[in-house]
Amino acid sequence: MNDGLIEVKVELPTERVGVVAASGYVNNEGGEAIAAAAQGLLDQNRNDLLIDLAGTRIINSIGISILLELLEKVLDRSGSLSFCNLTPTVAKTFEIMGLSQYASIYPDRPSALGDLQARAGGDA
Amino acid sequence: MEVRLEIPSLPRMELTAAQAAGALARRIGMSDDTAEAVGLAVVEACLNAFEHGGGGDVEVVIKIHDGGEPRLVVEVTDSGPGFDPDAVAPPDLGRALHGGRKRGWGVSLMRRLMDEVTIDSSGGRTRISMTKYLEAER
Repeated sequence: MNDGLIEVKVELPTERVGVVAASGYVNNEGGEAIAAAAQGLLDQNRNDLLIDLAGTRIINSIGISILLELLEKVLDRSGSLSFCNLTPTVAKTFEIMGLSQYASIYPDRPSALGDLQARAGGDA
Repeated sequence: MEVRLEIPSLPRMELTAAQAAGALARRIGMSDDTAEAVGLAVVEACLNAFEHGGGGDVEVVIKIHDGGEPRLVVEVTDSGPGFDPDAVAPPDLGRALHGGRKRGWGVSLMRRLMDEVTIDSSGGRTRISMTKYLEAER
């Protein structure tokens, strides 16, 4: 179990897409760190966000609630929220929630970016 | 074999219980993925106790039974007034994303990640008991 303090990095791989790479335990602090990084991207009008959870093994229910606030905000802006690199436990958590109805889930970052770029019509 | 913990209702203490449960789950042969799922269920039970237990210490007892039907049993007990889980509406993602309540996933997660979950609120305490069978993952 990766129970380390959250580390968040922002990357800008294309013009439209912003990536938030999160490593560590996603509790209230972790969720808020991800949400703050995502808000910075939304403020730059990057409305297609990819959360890369390669370094995250556990998202608790408080972290979930914060991610849902972020998802609501993105959908209100007609943007998209995607996730990649989920561990089996995080994938199971999202499956229990039914999150794939509202957010795209990809096995890894290249497949996520490829699809997001294609959906944007190649403008990225 | 059992591990008994008294943990304070403080941030991240839930991870202490989750790590102990994961270690015992692996000891009876559960996979790393299953042990991690058990750990998340324990995290949620502890968070529930922190939130509704009145702020006192939380007792966590983790037992493994490796004869008969090998299984791991976790009991999380707090001294709060408790709640009736059947009276709480299950979370609804659609409503949550349209201004609705976004909390409340803990009990659903526990029930889906473990094989058996009971919640007993009586006598001034609440105990969540969760069981995961080794056979269930095979």
